[in-house]
Amino acid sequence: MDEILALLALEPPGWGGNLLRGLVSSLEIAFGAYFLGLVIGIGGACGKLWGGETTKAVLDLYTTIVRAVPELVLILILYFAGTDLINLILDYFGREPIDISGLVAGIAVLGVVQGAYSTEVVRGAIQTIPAGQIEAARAYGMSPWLRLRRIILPAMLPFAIPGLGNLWLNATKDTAILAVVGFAELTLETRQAAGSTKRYFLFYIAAGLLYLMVTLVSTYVIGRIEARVRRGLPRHG
Amino acid sequence: MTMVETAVAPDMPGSAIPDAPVAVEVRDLHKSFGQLDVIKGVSMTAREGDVVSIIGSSGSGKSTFLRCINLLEIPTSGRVSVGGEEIRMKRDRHGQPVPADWRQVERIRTSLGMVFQSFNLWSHLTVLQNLIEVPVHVLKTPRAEAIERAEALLARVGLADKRHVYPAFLSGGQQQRAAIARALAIQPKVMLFDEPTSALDPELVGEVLKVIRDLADERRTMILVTHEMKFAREVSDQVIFLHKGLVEEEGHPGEMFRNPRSERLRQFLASTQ
Repeated sequence: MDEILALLALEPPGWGGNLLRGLVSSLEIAFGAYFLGLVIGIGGACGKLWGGETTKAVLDLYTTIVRAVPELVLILILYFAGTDLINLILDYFGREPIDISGLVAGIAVLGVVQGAYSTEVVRGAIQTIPAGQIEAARAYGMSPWLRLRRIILPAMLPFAIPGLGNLWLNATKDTAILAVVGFAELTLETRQAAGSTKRYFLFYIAAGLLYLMVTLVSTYVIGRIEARVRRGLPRHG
Repeated sequence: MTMVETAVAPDMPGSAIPDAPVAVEVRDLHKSFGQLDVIKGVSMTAREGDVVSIIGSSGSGKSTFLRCINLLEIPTSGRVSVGGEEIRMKRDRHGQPVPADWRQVERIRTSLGMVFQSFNLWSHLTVLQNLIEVPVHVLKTPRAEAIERAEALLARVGLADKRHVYPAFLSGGQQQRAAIARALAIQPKVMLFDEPTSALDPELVGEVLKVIRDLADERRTMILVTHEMKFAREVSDQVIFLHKGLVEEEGHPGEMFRNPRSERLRQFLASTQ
């Protein structure tokens, strides 16, 4: 038991500090990617519902490809091809290539993936709003932007929260995939700790418990949010 | 009968105050949905203080006509003016009519208080929040002032104790009274009612009609699409009977209901007895 506690200690030679730093990195990426995805999702849903034909076609292509290709493959493509592309552009303008930080790249890559799913969740939720409520907003002289901000987005939330909640849980777990591109999030830190000490079982169980803790806290918070945004809906059905 | 006909000017049948300023004027309005012509040239003049009822069987185009006034439906042709200001239209690149300036439409809409058949209160807002939403966020009324006015309106429609309740927890009659208060909260020049009692259980119709009747009694300008013939007869200054997208008959309600000139109105009135 003492040995386990020593291995999990926050200060070296214990690995607990590394694991917690990995957890913090994972959460940073998850938050960033989730909110980037949400912004893409709201824009994408509006584009799919009210955009022109070109906009709709582009968005259909985006959501179809992202949802069809395995996330691991997408992340490899977006991460390596994405950095190459940016440096190619920089080179074209005669600038020095840059080293894109793992955090920014991780947020961008996972955000694009999240955005595709968010688009569909938000689109479906907006379509669930009774049409008369949006019509009333039009009839009272609200501009399109005001309608979106004051009526459509808040009215669609009760229908979107279950889907958006799932996406948040996915976001926290998808961060683990970034281990393959060498980003020091929780899973990579765990692998290093386990590999160095040969205590695979101990460290993977520890990491699993950390992920579980994130999920439990998230589920609680999502539940509170859902109860709040559903205040205006009848309790039955 | 002859006496009544000569007493009323032909171009403004049954106006309450014949020389009052024109509140809403519609000239030769047409509306088609694809191949289907719903309105085939309807004109109407509502002066300030007038209560104009539009009646007709379902499919006559009366709701569509009302919705063309605030451009919830875009007229295929014809002119709509509110408070003497004509809504400017243009053609888009497909040749379809569209408003030349949506901001003009949005501004005009804030002077038209619309009440819908299915209430259409915003479900994520409480009753009070529904009433102050447009005053605060569109008309830029100071919040405290908007709340004060909203509470007075809620008291007036008998919903003072429901102000912090969400619409889904109200009866249909209460929701419609709240929706009428929401329309009044924007201090509209004209109230538009689109079959305000058609979605209500019979026992709830009375409480809503009472509120509308009070508004008529205080000489508010109102355009009312309704199936309630007795009510239309009692409160209106002018009745327009639409049939298949055309004005079949119009005039003062007492005269029209007592002595319908057209066979169609006779049949319609008989069927609604």
